[in-house]
Amino acid sequence: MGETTVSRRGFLKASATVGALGLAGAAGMTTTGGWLAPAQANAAAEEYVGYTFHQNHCTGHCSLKCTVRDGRLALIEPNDAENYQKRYRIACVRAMSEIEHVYGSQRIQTPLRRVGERGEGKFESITWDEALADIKENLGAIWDKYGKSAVVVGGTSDVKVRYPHLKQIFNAQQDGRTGIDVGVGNGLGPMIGDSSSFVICTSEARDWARAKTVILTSTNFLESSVPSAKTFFEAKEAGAYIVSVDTHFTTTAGKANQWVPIEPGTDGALFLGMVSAIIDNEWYDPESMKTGTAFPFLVDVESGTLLRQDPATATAKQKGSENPFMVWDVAVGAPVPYEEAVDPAIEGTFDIDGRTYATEFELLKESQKKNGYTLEWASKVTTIDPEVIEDLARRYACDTPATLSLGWGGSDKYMNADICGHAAGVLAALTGNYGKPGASVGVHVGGNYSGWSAKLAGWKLPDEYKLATQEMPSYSMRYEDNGVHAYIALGDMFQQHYANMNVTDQWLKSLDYVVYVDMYHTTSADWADIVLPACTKFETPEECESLKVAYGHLLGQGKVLDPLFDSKTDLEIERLLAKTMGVAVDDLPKSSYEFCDYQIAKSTDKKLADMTLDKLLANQCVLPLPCVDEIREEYASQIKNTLSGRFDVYQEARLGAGQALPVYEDPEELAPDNPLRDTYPLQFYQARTKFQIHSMFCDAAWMKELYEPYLEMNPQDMEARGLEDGDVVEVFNDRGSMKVPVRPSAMVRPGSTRIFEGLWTRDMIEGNLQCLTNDNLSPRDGILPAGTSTAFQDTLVEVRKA
Amino acid sequence: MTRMALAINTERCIGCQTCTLACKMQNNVPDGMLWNRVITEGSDIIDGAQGVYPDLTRSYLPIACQHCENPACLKVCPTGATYKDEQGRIEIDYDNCIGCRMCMAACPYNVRVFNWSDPVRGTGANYGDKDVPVRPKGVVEKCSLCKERTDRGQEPMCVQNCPYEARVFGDLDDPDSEISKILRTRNTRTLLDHYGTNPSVFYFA
Repeated sequence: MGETTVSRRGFLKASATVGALGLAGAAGMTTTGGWLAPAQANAAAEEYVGYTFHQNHCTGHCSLKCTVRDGRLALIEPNDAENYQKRYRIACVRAMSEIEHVYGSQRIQTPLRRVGERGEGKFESITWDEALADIKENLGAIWDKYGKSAVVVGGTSDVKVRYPHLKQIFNAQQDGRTGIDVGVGNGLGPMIGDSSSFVICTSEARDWARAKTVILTSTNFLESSVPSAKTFFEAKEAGAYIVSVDTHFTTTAGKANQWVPIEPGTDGALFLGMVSAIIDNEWYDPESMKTGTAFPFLVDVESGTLLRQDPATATAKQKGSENPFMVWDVAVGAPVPYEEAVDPAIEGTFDIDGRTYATEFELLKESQKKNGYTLEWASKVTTIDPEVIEDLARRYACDTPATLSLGWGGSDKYMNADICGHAAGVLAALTGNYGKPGASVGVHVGGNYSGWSAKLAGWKLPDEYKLATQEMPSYSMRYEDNGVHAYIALGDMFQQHYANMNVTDQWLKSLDYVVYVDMYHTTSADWADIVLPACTKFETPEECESLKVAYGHLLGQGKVLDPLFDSKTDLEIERLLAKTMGVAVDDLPKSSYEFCDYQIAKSTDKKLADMTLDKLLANQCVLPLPCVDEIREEYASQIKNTLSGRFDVYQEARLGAGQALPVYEDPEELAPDNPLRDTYPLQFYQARTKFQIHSMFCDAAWMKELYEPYLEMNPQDMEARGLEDGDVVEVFNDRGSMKVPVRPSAMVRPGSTRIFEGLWTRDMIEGNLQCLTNDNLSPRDGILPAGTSTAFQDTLVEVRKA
Repeated sequence: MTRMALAINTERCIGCQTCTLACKMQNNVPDGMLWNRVITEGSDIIDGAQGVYPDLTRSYLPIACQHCENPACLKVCPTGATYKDEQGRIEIDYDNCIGCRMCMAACPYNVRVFNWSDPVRGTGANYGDKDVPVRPKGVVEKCSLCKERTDRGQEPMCVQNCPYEARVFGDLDDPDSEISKILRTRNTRTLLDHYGTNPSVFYFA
């Protein structure tokens, strides 16, 4: 460890930047003082302890022990239940900030009714009865005139999951397609049998400690996965060599053994360069390729279709079990069904019945050569030295087991994300780095996605309550004719899910009615006609409000506080909306306790067999699943879900787009030869941060004591524009603009700008980040399993002094 | 004897600031004040880096009272409000603090903060440990090594809540304590050695 460079003067200077800022004002809302008892001396106060769990959206679900004094939150600590192991006992900076945030200035305290223009953000406080009467009248009119399918019920992660029945009982349309976090999965998912396209990796990140090499590409894991980030250090201390490939010198890059800086949006080119190095140096693993992958499968060289046992009835979507793929069996010198081959050839071209067939591996080699994916080419595209790319390839193929971890915040959000994911899968398939300890490929973000879970019983609704036919993804409703006239948004949907906010704004203004339900008055709330205040996870009048099974535990949201202000719990809001609209009145759970009890008692999941709600509450709202000590390794069964039941490489479904094997495309707006670069030479990059979960906690005053929003630029880019630290700048392109202070940061790649994702409009001097972002659909939208993954990072801007 | 101390593994510190707010919460530290901070070394902005892209380094330095064996603050306190207790912790008797702020000038680590006005809390209420005294206007305050918790045999809140287990609390006079083992086996350092303060907060990586 080097000597610190901080002097006494440095400490003095640092205190001026951290901890010197005051709290944000009450922002025009009713102050907490009006609702809550005044501060009292700590002594002789009445205390009790309650238990709940925290965020869904960071995937932590950390179980919390909360001390309440005189009805106010006093302490938030990790749950100390005896069998809740130290690994899971997390209460991070965001949990700490809840001491203030729960009472924060942006809590929605009462129902609100719009008084200005829609989107203007002007509201009056009303009662629940008035709000529900407004909804009955306006939503009722839309139902009468256009039918129930004219309403969308959509939401963001931490809020929407808490309203499990609403969209069904309203017979509404929903988001349709997420448009988010499915970019690399659109390419990798079909290869490994993940139909969700989120390509959540199993094994989970605990497995990294069994790897020799861990390559993280475009994922700032240490900030986006705080609750499970201990695994990074466990792996490093166990001797794994950790590489962070990232455009910026992130926290994760700074802690890795090696940082590989890369041109934004070119991760796919790096992977294809590594593929060539592995092929040229024969670092691939022929045995696993023969038996575990589709590399030996025969492809008709002329048509590009895979040879099946019964070619006449073959379709691209047919499973191998229905119509087996054929391989060339060296042992018999003839094509045989793949599961019957003794010695399948992985290389070579074969004439069968007058047609020429090549193995998938042979075609891959040809594709790499034909397209010129040399180390030098990859180096030119990515700006990484050829030697470094070759060394990465060697480590990944030879220093095994190796893990390739892809994120959702970086390479996922460029227009070429599917090609990147496809190329990552080819690397894993070539080297056998999947399906064994220390070797996995996919997204490791969040322990509750990749760790153990169990299925709670769903509440049975009468058959009439089902979703309406989805016309199109909700993001497309902004451009295309559709029958939607109202939107019920659960959480910050409009900022978080849709790029190009000016288009969103116009669409929302064209709707007849918008209802917003949330705990906090986010940017999205400003488009609402009626806003409804929800309780946080700390509030309920009941002994247990909700349940979750995540990261190896059954978790309960017990009682910490009574509902604050005029907020109501999620289930009560569902029941009130049901009663108001006269649907499912007697079909929803009567109480949250009843619902929680039902979910455990009626679950058929063996992992929950010995659990009851009473046991959960008696154990401080947390019970470990029986398997919690084992690292979850379900990848093998995942591979079984592919068409062939093996690691599929060649994607016949992508043949029409010329992408049966990965063929590199530049990112869309960031393409080096894009003429738009002359006008807008800088990338607009939205970064993940430990201080927020997307747009959550942006309003937490204790966070604002640690930082205020600003745009980060490399000092050389600032100098070229005559910008100085703290200048207010306009960030702009043809879609829109925003104004924000700028600060120099050497960690930012020259040619890029960087800002925390999710910041609210009220945190900007003017505008919103999404006013700038690229909302084009993928050119392969029609063939991508999950449709377009919005290319938020594939955005060019220019910056000038405002 | 007991000498309570902290060892911080900076390799495991990602500057998440959980310790910063855990401390603020536990000790009822008012708005605009912090007892514990995490500095990004050599950078004016949080999570910045040193060097020129791409030749960059970054290190985080969590900083609070160093609970020095030879504390500069104690020597200049005219009333004895700042004192060293039997466990080696540097504490403040708020009743005796006259707000002269000599200690703040003397402390080479700049870890003391002053209540220039009546403390303000956006929550509208006190929070934290019920045994932590509420400080009035005109007194200096700082990290107490979570006196109220450590007196009860608990770890300081910053240690308990660190998501990366980067912080170790213990007794330097107990040779079997984890912190004593760290001092024996790891290359630890203290801050600003040349001042001769002999801190009880050790950093290692």
